Amino acid sequence: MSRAVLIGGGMIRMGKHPEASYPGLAVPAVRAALSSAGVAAPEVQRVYCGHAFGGMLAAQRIGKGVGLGTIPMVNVDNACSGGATALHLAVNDIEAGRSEVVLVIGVDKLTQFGKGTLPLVEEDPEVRAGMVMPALYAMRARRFLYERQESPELLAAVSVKARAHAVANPHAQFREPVTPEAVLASRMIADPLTLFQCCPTGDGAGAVLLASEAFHRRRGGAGVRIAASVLHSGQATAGFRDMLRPEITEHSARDAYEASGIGPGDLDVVELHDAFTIAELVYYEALGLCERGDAGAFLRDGRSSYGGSVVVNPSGGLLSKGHPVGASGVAQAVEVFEQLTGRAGRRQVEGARTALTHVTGGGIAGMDHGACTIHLYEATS
Amino acid sequence: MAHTAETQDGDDPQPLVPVSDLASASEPCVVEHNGEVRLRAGRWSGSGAWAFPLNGLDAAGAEPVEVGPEGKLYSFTTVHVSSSRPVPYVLGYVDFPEGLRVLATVETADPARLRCDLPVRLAREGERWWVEPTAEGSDATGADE
Repeated sequence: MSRAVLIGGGMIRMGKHPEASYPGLAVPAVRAALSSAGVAAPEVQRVYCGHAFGGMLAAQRIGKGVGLGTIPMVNVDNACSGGATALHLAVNDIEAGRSEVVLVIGVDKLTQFGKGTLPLVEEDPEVRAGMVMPALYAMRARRFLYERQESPELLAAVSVKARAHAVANPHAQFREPVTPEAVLASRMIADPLTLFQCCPTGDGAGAVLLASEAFHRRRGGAGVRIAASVLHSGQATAGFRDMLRPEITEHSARDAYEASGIGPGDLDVVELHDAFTIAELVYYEALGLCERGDAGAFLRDGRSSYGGSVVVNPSGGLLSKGHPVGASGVAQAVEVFEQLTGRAGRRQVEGARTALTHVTGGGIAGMDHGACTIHLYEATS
Repeated sequence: MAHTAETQDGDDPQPLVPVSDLASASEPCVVEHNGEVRLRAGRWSGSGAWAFPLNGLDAAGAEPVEVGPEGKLYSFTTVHVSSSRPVPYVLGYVDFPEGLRVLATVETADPARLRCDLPVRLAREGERWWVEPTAEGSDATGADE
């Protein structure tokens, strides 16, 4: 079986781009990915495009803009896991020997909805009862603060770290540092979560090229091997659930570590799904980056930043880089490609060799989340 | 064919029809007996899995079970920005002792008094239902009425 190798990646700066269409957002990212891989468009054999709100045939509309046609193109919706699911499908194709070069796109445009919370599926009974994503995470945060006897200052510290990292990321939507006081004083969205503890409304696109090991050897150039690609779906229960233990993430991480032989202690870089501050804290534990019960100390002691045991969200994460839903999983892969090939500029994690990316996809009654995707990566040189 | 009803002597097979779960979703979720409000839930006999609200998909196989009137507030939040309802409103997950967790609107005069694990009780007005702190759960001021 051939492993899949990331051979190029690119993304646009995330932010409010209401004047750009889906192709307008994604074509520059695709061109950058092709160019960084040294691959010409006609060499691409298959395209997967993750998006949640792009409408019909987004992949084909984007492909048209770079001269791609005739080859299979598949549009993938898995909410916030859409882009990472597209990557997962591409990895499967390469490992199965069906393709040698696959283009993966992640794109979404949230400014089409104006401001406010992400529109969820109104067929869902909890959504009809008033559920919005900030409320779900706010209840997780409330329970966390209650059980761990912590204060909202701990939540604010997640945003402060995210912004501190994003200062060095030219792709990030927010690049200004922020103080804990400013985070806590920003507008209340769903208490205890204030505005600066929620990922912003924004638009973005990322693209990566995936190749077989044989193709990568023939061409040479930079490469990052995909050591594991895991996709899980939520299991519904109307019974009790421990909101501090997001089981879909725990199970996905367990499978990814088992498949690759890489353990959480081996990781240099992690890009995890910090859509809201509380998420980062519970995911430290679910991904095994620290012991259960230790998330607060792990953050406060600086173990999840530069100079610590692993750099979590060097890009600034979803909180600062931005979170255009379907784009995020691919944008994380772009960040890892840059980190593990020494191209991350001022945010380079020194000597980074091993990385993990993690996105969930939420918003269904009775589930921790609807989808979860985890990828593990190793530098090839 | 596995996905059509059996045929009888050359009759056309009965076509499968969809479940009108959106129509049944508008049926009342609560019942009231002697002033006590309960939720109409369901439970699958094999797996023991809960179903709430009891929509048309579950009604065919789940045993109807009434749950309540009292539960504990697992967690809660006051929502100030929402695409689905006028704000502000308070949502909470309520754990009923039977083993069911339900997302509910929380009505209280003083949201600052809410805390995790607070005892709450179901209430209704017509088909609209919510939970509110019980007398002992509201720190005894009676301000929650």
